Amino acid sequence: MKFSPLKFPIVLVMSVLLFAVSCSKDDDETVECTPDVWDSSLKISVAADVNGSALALGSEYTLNDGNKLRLDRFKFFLSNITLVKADGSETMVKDVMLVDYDLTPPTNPALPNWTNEFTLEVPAGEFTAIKFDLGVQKELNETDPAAYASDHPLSITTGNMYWSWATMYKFVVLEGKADVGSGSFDESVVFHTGTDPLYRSVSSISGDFTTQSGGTTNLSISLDVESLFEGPGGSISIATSPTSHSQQGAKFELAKTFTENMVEAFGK
Amino acid sequence: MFNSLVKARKPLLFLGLLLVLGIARCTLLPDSNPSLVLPEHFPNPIFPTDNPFMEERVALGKKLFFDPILSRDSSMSCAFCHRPELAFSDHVAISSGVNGPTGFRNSPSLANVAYDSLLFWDGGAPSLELQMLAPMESEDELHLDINEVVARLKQEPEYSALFQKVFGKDPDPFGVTRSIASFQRTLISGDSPYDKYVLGEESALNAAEKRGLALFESDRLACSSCHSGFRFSNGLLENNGLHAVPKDRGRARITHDSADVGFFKVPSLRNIAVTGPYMHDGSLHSLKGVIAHYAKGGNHHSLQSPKLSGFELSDKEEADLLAFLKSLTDKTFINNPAHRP
Repeated sequence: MKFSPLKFPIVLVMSVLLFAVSCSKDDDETVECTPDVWDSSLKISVAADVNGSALALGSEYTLNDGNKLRLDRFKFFLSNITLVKADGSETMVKDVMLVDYDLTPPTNPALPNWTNEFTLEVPAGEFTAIKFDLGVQKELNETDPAAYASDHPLSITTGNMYWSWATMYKFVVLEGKADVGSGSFDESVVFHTGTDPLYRSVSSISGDFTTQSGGTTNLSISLDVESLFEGPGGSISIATSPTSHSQQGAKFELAKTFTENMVEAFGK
Repeated sequence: MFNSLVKARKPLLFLGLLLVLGIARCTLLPDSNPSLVLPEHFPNPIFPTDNPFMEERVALGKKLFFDPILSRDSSMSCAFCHRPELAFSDHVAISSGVNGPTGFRNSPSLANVAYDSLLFWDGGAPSLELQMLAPMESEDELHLDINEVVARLKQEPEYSALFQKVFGKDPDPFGVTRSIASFQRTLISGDSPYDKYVLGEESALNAAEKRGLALFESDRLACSSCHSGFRFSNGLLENNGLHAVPKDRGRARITHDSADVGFFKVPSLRNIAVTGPYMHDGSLHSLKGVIAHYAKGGNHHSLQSPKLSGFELSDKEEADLLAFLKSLTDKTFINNPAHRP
């Protein structure tokens, strides 16, 4: 079999994923390792909600501060999806995935329909938590989006998730319109966060779940949209600070506040 | 051929080093590459592992490079700002894009860009493949999303057939960026009178040009302290004191580090006589103006290079230096029919 330069690393990564090894210590302190078979499915849904109901793009919501918001686009990258066992051991099951709340099929039927649900191949086991990062880690952030196949989340064909070689991937794209008192949705709300300094780990989300050989386990992660504007990072008023493209200065600080709110907005 | 090696000792030593390094680091080229003709004193360019040199990619890339299908209103191609007869540069200070003169930097020459590890004036883009998304999508330039470019190409039976032939699949961002970069890497310029002289043709430079070369390499003028090597660039970013208060922060736009304000890539001087206006903003209109800038030691930006100590030049010396700079024009390159649509 002949490997092309492009396919070889993919095969290598797949091999690692398929034949990851679990190790355990016995009484003699000898480490025994057996290959894990990744024959379980884990269906993760990242369920964004506003005012206690599921986020629907195009719907109008009233935020805590009374301003009204309608989201037209909301998508983001999660990285290093990792399953944690009771003994603290961790298994990274996915390097990067794109969460997209736009559920309308792409105009080009050849392109994948990114959604907020993912089915990952994982090893069977009992887990106590899941953890992940928000954004695209530096090594992947520096890669060429035109070099990915169109079914990869980092492919440039996903659209609107890449700035340029200098600022690289947008980590979060949130766009919409706001009514901040005028009576109409005439204020543009645009939060495009990204660049390496805004890559953040999300706190480990606890909750037992079990994956079984040949079976599918559902796991729902919640995301509170209101917390994006009112959270531990600070308050963001869409009336006075409706946009940030993460450029230097005050806009970067705004994107940082948004990011720090968002990493705390995930739950189970 | 090499009977005058002694006079060209320094450049050749440097080139020899580059060749050794090049052979160690390069993907070796196939035996026959009619599109990629390397002068004997040039090293092999380095090709990305996912874009090895292939004639078919070059041909497709050339077609795309000259095709206005890549711009929003289908009015301009890459070649609008990178004109073959101007060594793939432009003749205006700031080029217009599809939305008019909204940009803020001078169009650089693409000659020998295959050897360039710093792309753009602020030197951040790591590869031609990644770099080209910026001019394609920027509203100051062609202003067309790569996905829209691909959608258009798919509508053209000729392109669909070509991409199938070259990449074995329909047009996609990978094929577009790899093929255009492949064409750009064939834009090798190394046949100027200066090159002929370096390769041993004593009479390729006249007396004035030789005196100009000596001035260029002199410690007094120190031009070659930055414009060095076979590309006439040290490949680094420098602050040349162009403006005391720069409007364009240069490298600092990328790094957000105030210590990088006013730093721009040291451009190659090859074909310099046809690539004016000069500097990152095209603010100097003539080579005489450029020489005058360095003679006065720049405009004293707080971070400007200490190499800019200024110098005095007689009229005759200035004429000699200009004559040498003009000897860097490679007419074979700027008239090369293989580089035309």
